Amino acid sequence: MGWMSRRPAEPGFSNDLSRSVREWRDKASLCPRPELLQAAQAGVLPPEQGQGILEHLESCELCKSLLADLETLDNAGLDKAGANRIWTQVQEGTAGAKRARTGALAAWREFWLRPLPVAVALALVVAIIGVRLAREFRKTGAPIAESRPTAPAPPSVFRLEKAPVLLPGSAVIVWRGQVDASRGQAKDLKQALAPYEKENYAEAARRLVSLRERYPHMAEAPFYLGICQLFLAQDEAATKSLKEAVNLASPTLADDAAWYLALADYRTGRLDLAMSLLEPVCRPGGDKSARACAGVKEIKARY
Amino acid sequence: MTDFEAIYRKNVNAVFRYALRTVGNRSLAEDMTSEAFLELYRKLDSIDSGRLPAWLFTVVKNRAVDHWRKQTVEQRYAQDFKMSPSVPGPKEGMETWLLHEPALKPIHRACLVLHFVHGMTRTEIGQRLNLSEVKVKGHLQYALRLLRKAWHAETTGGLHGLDEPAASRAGVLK
Repeated sequence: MGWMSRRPAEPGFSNDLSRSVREWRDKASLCPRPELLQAAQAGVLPPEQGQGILEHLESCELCKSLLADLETLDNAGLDKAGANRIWTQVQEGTAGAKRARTGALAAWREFWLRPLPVAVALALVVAIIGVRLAREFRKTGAPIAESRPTAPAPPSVFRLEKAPVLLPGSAVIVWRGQVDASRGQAKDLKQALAPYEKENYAEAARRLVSLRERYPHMAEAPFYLGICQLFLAQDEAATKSLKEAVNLASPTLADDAAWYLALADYRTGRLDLAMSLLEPVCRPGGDKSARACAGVKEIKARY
Repeated sequence: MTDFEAIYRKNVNAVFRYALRTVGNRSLAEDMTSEAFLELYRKLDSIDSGRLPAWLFTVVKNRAVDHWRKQTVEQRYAQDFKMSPSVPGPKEGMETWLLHEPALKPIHRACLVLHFVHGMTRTEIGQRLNLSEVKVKGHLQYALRLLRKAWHAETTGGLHGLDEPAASRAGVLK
């Protein structure tokens, strides 16, 4: 069957060890192929396949471990040769696109401009229209409507920008008598956010998920997780994480959490929810007020 | 450097990593990454730069969804899998060793599992993990050396990190 393991070549094991390896392999023979495990976790498989694989993953330590190892190894990303290979492909594609554009232009010229009668007819049509428009203008005295170039739409205020990393000192509430625990949390948060600062959002998200499990009352974990998910285009997951952040957030983080949740809602088309989050932040003197007010204005103007 | 090239240099690594996670194949992930940047090149004028790199991830994700939709050979997976939901079972001897042996790094464990569980050749593993065949061979040999060592240590107290009852159940210990 397509997903099942193939038989590898046997190394020079002793008989007992060889048998044990074989037994182990047979037990694992229904494990989905590694690329299917990754695809299921990334949510790109058709639902009927993805669901089965995720259920398997839930109960299979071997697959969980392989997936974690692959993620660690894949985080190394591209080497220089790979980046150059892709760049060459892109350049070939862009050159093709340019050629196609100039080719189409040449064909257009060939078709329309070469035959002299067509060119004459075109000139006549333009002249007739011009004369009629001039008469119309003389008759009514009204200026002919000019076709003004339309101004480009202003950039949206809902641009995804990375939230600055709040240093643990200000990000973690230090309870009396729990200084050490808080320091531990702050240290863990800093470690989890290291890839976030390098814009490696996938790895940061992975670390923040475990941080959230370890410290369920820390608002920063779901907050930064939600932002990473927004960068990874996982808008629904981001909404969930940011809701959690809004519920847990201290006053310092509350407005930012509301802003990013509104952004997630805006992206998923839940404009009423985005509006209800931004309106309270859009208050005189509020720290993040200007951005929230611009957001409210944009939603009202566009919809 | 043009604007487009600057965008490419800034985002190519993240887009590639994401593509690799969605298809698990480096060569395909490279193709998908270049397609996403080509799409960006075509629409560069109409795309708000604030939507990057999320826009590129969305293109990659859509390509990945198309890719997997076309893989009809896998259609039977869900159905067949439901017939044997408990496979593989709970932790067994070999698996416990593999998951808990401290000397095994992710690279060794991945090589071992890809080779022995998924039957991938050294060349295939090398392509998947961006390693030379010689390096894959080295990692496999190291992991196998550890396995043999743990196996022979059974007489003096069981496999490394392997509790004896679990090992007996799995038939690893005699």
